[in-house]
Amino acid sequence: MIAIQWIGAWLLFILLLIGIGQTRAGKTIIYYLLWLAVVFLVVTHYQEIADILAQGGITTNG
Amino acid sequence: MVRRRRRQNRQDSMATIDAAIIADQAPVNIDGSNELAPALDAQQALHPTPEPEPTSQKPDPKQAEIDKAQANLLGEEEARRIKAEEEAEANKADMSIGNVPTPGSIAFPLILLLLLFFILIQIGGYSRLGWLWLVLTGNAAVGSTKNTAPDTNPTQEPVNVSSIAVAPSSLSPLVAHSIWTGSGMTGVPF
Repeated sequence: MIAIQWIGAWLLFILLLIGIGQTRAGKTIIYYLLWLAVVFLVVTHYQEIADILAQGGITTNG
Repeated sequence: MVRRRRRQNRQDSMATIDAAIIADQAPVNIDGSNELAPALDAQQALHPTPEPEPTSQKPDPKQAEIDKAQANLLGEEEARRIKAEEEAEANKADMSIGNVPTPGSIAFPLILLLLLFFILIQIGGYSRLGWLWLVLTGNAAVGSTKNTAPDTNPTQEPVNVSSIAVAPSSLSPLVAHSIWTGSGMTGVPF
């Protein structure tokens, strides 16, 4: 039940964002909010990302 | 007003260029002489009589024709972009948020965010995509910290998840350590 509520809330949120993104100003707002989210995600998870890059998180053949 | 002046300037410039080209390519007879060729009044060509200024705010049919030709040539989206650019140029004082440039596409930060959020960054030992797979396959549950496997705890008493021995499973490597790790997700040890 809890999962369904979360999925519903997320769907509503995504629909809201799509609606905002249809306007000219909204598109700009969404665009920079997405970049802000990327920056926050990288800053708050910098250790994990550094581990992925440094400790063979991405494994190549050989 | 500014747009009208710009349009007039552009038309004057185009007329000047056309006149220069025509003057350079004056028709020449086969024998090389140009006696019978119509004389071109270069002065007239270089300085055409200006068109009368439109008195009302009705859309200029010539401009509409140019816009249509531009749309046919460049495609609707590009023509719309150019028109928007021209309008923004003509109305520099408009500093609304809609005029802030958004370089690239909105898809780029979106895909980057989804890649980081769902695949690269792990929580409780799995990426969010991994947790989604565990939940969809019934090997983990959201919002419960109790062990949901009926055969491992038939008395239905709360289980100290830290004491659950995780049996090695040959079914799926994702299931092997899917016990609660503080992420709010509860896995079922096989």
